[in-house]
Amino acid sequence: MDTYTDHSLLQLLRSPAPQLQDSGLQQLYRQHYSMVEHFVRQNKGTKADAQDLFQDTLIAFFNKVQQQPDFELTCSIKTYLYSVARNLWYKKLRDEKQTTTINDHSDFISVDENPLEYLSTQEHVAEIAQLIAKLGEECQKVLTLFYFDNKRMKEISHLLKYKNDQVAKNKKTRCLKKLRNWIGEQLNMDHFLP
Amino acid sequence: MEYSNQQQIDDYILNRLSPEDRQAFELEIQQNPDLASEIQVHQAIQQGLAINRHRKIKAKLKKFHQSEFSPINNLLKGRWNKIHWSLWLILVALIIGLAWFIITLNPTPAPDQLYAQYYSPYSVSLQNRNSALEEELAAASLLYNQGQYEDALPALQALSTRAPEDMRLFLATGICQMELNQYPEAIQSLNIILERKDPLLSDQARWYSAMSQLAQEDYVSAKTSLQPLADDPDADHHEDALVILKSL
Repeated sequence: MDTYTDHSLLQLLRSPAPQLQDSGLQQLYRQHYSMVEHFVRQNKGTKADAQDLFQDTLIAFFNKVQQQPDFELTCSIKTYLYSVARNLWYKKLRDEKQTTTINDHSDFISVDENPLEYLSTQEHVAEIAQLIAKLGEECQKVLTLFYFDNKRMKEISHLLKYKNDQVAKNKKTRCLKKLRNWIGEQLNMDHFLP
Repeated sequence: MEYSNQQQIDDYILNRLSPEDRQAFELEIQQNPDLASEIQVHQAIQQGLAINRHRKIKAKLKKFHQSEFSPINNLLKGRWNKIHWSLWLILVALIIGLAWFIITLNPTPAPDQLYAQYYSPYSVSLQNRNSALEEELAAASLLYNQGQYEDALPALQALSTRAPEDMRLFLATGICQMELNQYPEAIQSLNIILERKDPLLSDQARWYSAMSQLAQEDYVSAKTSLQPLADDPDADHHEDALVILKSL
C-alpha cells in the first residue's frame, strides 16, 4: 500500500476538484481505518460500529479542512483522527448509558466534543434534508457551497464553471426559492415560529 | 415566504456581519416575528444541507469500504500485492502444466495393464556341460527359448525332479506355466526358488510371482511380492517394482 504524507493528504482534501478530494478521503481510509477498528473493538464495539464511526470521523475531519482554509494540524492526521473517533465513541457510549472508561492504544489530543452536532436534529430539519435531496444536483451543490462551505459567489462560479458571479447568485436565489416553497407547502410552519 | 432582505439574512447566518451590524440585526430579529421565523428556516436549511452532504459522503465511503475491504481484496493485499499474486499464479500454472506434460509422457498404467506392460519371459540358459543331463537340458533350453512352452514344460518338470538343486529349471518351469496361463502353478514353481533362498534367482522368482499375481488381478499379493524388490536398490527389477507399486 502506498503511503501518502499528511501534507499531501491535506492538499488533496483542500483541492477544489471533487475527484482529488475523493482520492484523499480514500487514501485516509486505507491508512487509518484499521486503527479505529482496533480501538472500537477494544471498547465494546463491533466491526459495523467501527465502520460507522470511522466514516463519521473522516467526514468530521473533511468538514474541518473544507470549512476552515486556515486550519492547521498541530499533530499527525493519525492522532487527530484517533482523537475525533475517540470523542465520538465516548459520546455514543455515554448516550447509551454504558460505562465510559476508554481503553486507549494511541495518543490523542483535545478536539471538538461534537463535530457532527448537525446530525442531532429535530424532526423538521430531517424533513428539510429529505427535501434538499430531491433538489437537482446543481441546486444541492450551489446551496451547500454557499450555506455549508461558506463560499463567496466568485468562488462558487469558478468551482461550478459559471460565466460570472451573477449567474451563480441567480442560481442560488432560484434554488433557495424552490426549496423555500417546498418547505412552506410540505412542512408544519409552526416549527419556525419564534 | 420570501423575506426582502435576503442578503442580510445570509450574512447573519454565515457570520459575515460586523459585530455592530450583528447586534443591530439581532435587535431587529427580536422585534420582528416574521424575520425571526425566517432566520430559523434558514438555519434549518443550513443544517439540512449539512446532513444531506454528510449522507452523500458517507454513502461513498461505505461503497469504498465494501470494495476495499472485501475478502478477496484482503486476500490479495495480505503480504502480497497484486503483481506478486499474478506472478505466483503464473508460476503455479507453469508447474501444473509441466507436471501434466510429464505425466502424459510417462503415464502410470492402470493396475489391469501392468502385466501386459511389464511381463516378458526370462531368457534362461539351462546348459551345463558338466551335467549328466546335458543333452536333455540343451533340448529343454532350446524349446523354452524358441517359445515352445507347451513342449518345454513337461521336459522341464521332468528335469527338475532329477536335478532339484538347479533353480533355473524351476524358474523356466514357472515361466512356461505363466505363458500357458497356469498362474497358480507358476507361483508354486517360483516359490520353490524363494524357499531355497537362491541368491541368484530369488529376485526373478519374486518378479515373476508378482507378474502371475497381476495376471490374476491379485494386487495385494503382487504388492507383497514386489515390496522386497522395491526396498532393495540393488535388486533386479527395482525401478519397475517402484513404479508398479505406485500404480497399485
